[in-house]
Order: sequence, then structure tokens, then C-alpha cells
Amino acid sequence: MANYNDLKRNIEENYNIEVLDIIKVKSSYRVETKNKNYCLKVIKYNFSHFLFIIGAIKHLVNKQCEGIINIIPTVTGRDYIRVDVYYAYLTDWLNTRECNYDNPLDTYLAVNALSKLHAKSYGFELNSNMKPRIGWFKWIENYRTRSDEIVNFGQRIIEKDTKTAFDSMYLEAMEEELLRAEASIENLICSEYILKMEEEIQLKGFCHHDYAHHNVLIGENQKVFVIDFDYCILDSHLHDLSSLLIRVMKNGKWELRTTKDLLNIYNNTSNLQEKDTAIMAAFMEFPQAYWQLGIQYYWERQPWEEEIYIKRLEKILEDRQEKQEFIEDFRLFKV
Amino acid sequence: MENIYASTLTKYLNNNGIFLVDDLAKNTDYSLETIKKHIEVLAEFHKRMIGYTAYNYGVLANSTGKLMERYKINNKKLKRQIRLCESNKDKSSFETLLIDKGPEILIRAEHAINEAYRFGYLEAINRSMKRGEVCLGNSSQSNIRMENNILIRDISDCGSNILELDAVYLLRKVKKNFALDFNLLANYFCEMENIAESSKDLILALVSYPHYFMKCFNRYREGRKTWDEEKFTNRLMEALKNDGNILI
Repeated sequence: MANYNDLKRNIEENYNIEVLDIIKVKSSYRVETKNKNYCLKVIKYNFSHFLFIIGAIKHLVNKQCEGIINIIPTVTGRDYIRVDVYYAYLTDWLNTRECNYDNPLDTYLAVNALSKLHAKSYGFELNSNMKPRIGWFKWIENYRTRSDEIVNFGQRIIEKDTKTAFDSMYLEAMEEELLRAEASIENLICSEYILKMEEEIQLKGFCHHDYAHHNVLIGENQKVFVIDFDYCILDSHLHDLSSLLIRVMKNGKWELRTTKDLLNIYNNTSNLQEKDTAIMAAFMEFPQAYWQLGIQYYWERQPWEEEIYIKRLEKILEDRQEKQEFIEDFRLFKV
Repeated sequence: MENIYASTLTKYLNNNGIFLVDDLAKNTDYSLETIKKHIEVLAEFHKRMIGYTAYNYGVLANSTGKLMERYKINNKKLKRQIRLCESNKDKSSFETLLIDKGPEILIRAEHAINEAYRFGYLEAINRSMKRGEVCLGNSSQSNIRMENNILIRDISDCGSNILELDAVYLLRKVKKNFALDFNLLANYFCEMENIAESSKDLILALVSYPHYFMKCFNRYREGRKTWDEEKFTNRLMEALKNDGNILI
């Protein structure tokens, strides 16, 4: 990343502001000036993908979607600056807190904001410079690829001369998780997924795709802001909604009552259909967390202690039966 | 970043007459009057801290909802474990006790949660979020005291939360060993805090939750302690006693 003085000069010249300090906060920078603070968000993707991301943000702002923070233009009217080999955009820095998915009222605020975001996302026009991620129609194929990747982790474990405790645990759970993956693919095929995608592609909407509690900020008077569109994707809104349900209920909190409350709030702005629950149940059924942990351990080799990997796996395995029981009930749930 | 936050918090505390100390002399007086006085200290602490999080998001933990979610998870795990134990052919003494006492405890636990919701749990969260309430977490007499200033030994459990929980933590601890008028104390807390009367019953519902039973059960289930079956059985019996009577 650019050195401090270069970055400071870059911001000052492009935005005509006098920077007092720049502090890294997670993946962003807090740019402090005498009167106010700004947020500089650097996106580590290629330019055409960056254009898609800021295009999606600007689309929401133009449609006056509540809680989307406006991008501040440079002195020459551009939406971004170059920072080393990447591109970055500037917004106001907001005095907010992170949403807390243990707090039911925060969760209601989050699902309401998501519903509005999806509704406002419709009608998004791409231009030829944008290179988006596309999820429509792809999840059957994606899940098959991910199942193959799980099999690959298994082969890697078998080929190891010395297996770690994590290897043994991961391998022991593999057969059941692959069966679950297969069932989720089968259930997605049996649902009206393809028909739904045909309808959705006409609406030209998009998904946030990383609706984690730390990307949903709550400010004064419970105003909600949605940030970090780095994983934004052209895909069904059901994908975001399923992912939010998992985030709220994982680790022993699976409940139809919670689901019903959240879907009712979502439906205040959007219009869920009867066929949607079977699609969402199939999305939620895929052993995403198990696959992701495998990616982190066997492919990305994230530098975490073995103990951390084991704890994460234990949590996933402890939760799987209860989650599956919930999924079976949810599949038949009528919205 | 952490240092900036820490100094900001300490500065805020000190500016408001709250000081962190290494130790506090043990107070073994659990008379009704002493507990009432202690409730006044807690109310003063809450008053001085209110709104702090509104301008300092991220400095303190946000614990709102965590306790209730933990309680709901406990209930599910206990239900599942009872079923599992019942299907076991050879039952250990702990499992036998769990089958014997578990269903009754489960009813009590579910009742406590239902009553908490009935007596304004969500409304309390709403109020707490709007006012920026801060809960101390460890609200016992050995952790906070008034001596000209407010002195606190440990602030690590302090966070955004409904302030009723400080009453719950305090009364649960007192109830373990002393039979005081908890109805009166919960009421006094609400008076001192100037919060809705329904919060009295919310507090009593949460104090009635079988906290010690669940704590012991979780230790058994998670294998966190290397106790043998007999020790676990004895501890569970003790927990039953510590949880005492239902207050609502």
C-alpha cells in the first residue's frame, strides 16, 4: 500500500482537503480533517470490476436508497482515485456502530434495510466497461464445483504422511457433508430455481453478497447504513436473504419463529413468493461453512493456529444436525 | 487503535468520577438495606455512563441480546441431551439425574424466557438502544463501590446492554445464599433507574432462569472440566440448590 505521505498528498490533491491524519480501520482508511472525517475505501480488484462495484453503489444512491453512502467526487469530477495498483473511492465517515445479530431489534433493522436495498437494486444497467460477478443460474454448477473441491481436500488429507488432528476430524465428517451437498444440489434442481432466475434476470437487480453484521452500521435514531459492496454480484435477492438467515441463526439458534419474523419484515418492501422457500432452503442446506474452512486450511493456508481451525470445525459439526432439522421444516414453510 | 479507545474510555470514566482500582475490600453484608444501597450505586453508575456509546461506538462491547440468545441455546441443548440420555441403555448417575430433573428445569427455563418477553424484553432493548445504556456486567458488591467517587475493579464485562441485566446479575448472586425480598429489590432498582414497572417482572423472570443448572450442564456437555461423574452429579445437585425458587 502507498506510503503515508504519498497517500496524504494523493487525497489532498484530488479532493481539495487538508488531511490531518490517516488511520487504517479494517480494510478502509479514516481520513481526518479539521472539520470532518472521511472514509477512503480501496478495492483490490481490477478496474472493470471496480467500476461495477461503484456503479452498483451509485445506482442505489441515484434511486435514493436509504442508508447508502454517497461517493464524493474528486476535484475533476471523477468517482475514484488510483492508489498504487488499485482504485479507491471516498465517502463521509459516519459515527455509527456495527449491527448486532444477537439483538432482535438490530436484526429487524438489518433485514428491513436489505429488503429496501434489493428493491432499489432493480433496473441496474451495466455499461461495457463494467465486469460484474454473475450468480444467476449458476448455483447448481457452483455447488457441484465446491463438492469436487471438498473431495480434493479429502485426497490431500489421504496423501499426507502425517495427518493433523484437524485433518482427521475434517475427513471423518466428509462423507456426511458430501451427502448433504448432494442433497442440497438435488433440492435446488427440484425447486423452481431456474424459473425464478428467469424472472429475476428481467428485473436486473443485484445482491450485496456479504451482509455480515460489520457491514451493516447503525447510527443516530437507528438509521441503518449498508457498506462494503466489494462482493456485490448480479444474483437473486434470495441468496442474500438466505445468507442473512444463516448469520442470524447459526450456532444453535435455528428457529422457524425467528425466520417468520424476519421474512415478514422483508416482505414489507419486497414480495416473497411461495416457491422461494424451497430455493432458500436448498441454498442454506449446502455445507458452505465446512467447504469454506477447507478452502482456508488446504488451499489458502490461512496462518491461524491449528486450535482455531479445530474450534471452528467443532462449531460447524455441533450445529449441523440442528441446522438440518430446521432446513427440513423450512423447506415446507409457507411465506 | 485499542490504546486510543482505552485512553478515551478511562478519560471519560475519570471525568465522570469513576475510577478503576486494582482491588476492593470484600463486602460480606447482604442485608436488604445494604443491597438497596448497592442498587443506588449501580443506578448512579448507569446515570453517569448513559449515552457514552452514542458518541463512542465500538469502544465498549455490544452485549445486547447475547444473554437471551445463550439462554435459548441452553434450552435446546438440554432438550436434546435429555432425549439422548433417555435413549442410552447404560445411564451414568449424571444422566439419571438429568433425566429426573431436566424436564422440570426445562419448563422453568422456557417459562423464564416467555415471561421476560411478556414483561417487555423487546421494549427494554428499544429503550436501551435509544438512550445508549451501558451495563457494568459484573455488578456485585466486590466489583463496584461508592467512596466519594465510584470505584470499579473490573470493567471487562461492561458493554451496551439493557441496564436491567445489572440487577439480574446482582440479585442472582445474592439469591444463591440469601433469602431477601427480591420483589422489593427489583422494584427498588426500577425506581432508582426510573424505568417502566414491567422491568421489575422482566428482572424477576431472568433471575428465575436456572442459570447454575445450565452452567453445570454445559460444562458436562462440552467436557470443559475433567470432573468424574460423581463430581458432576454433586455439582448439578448443588446447582439445583443455587438456582433456588422461581420468583415469577
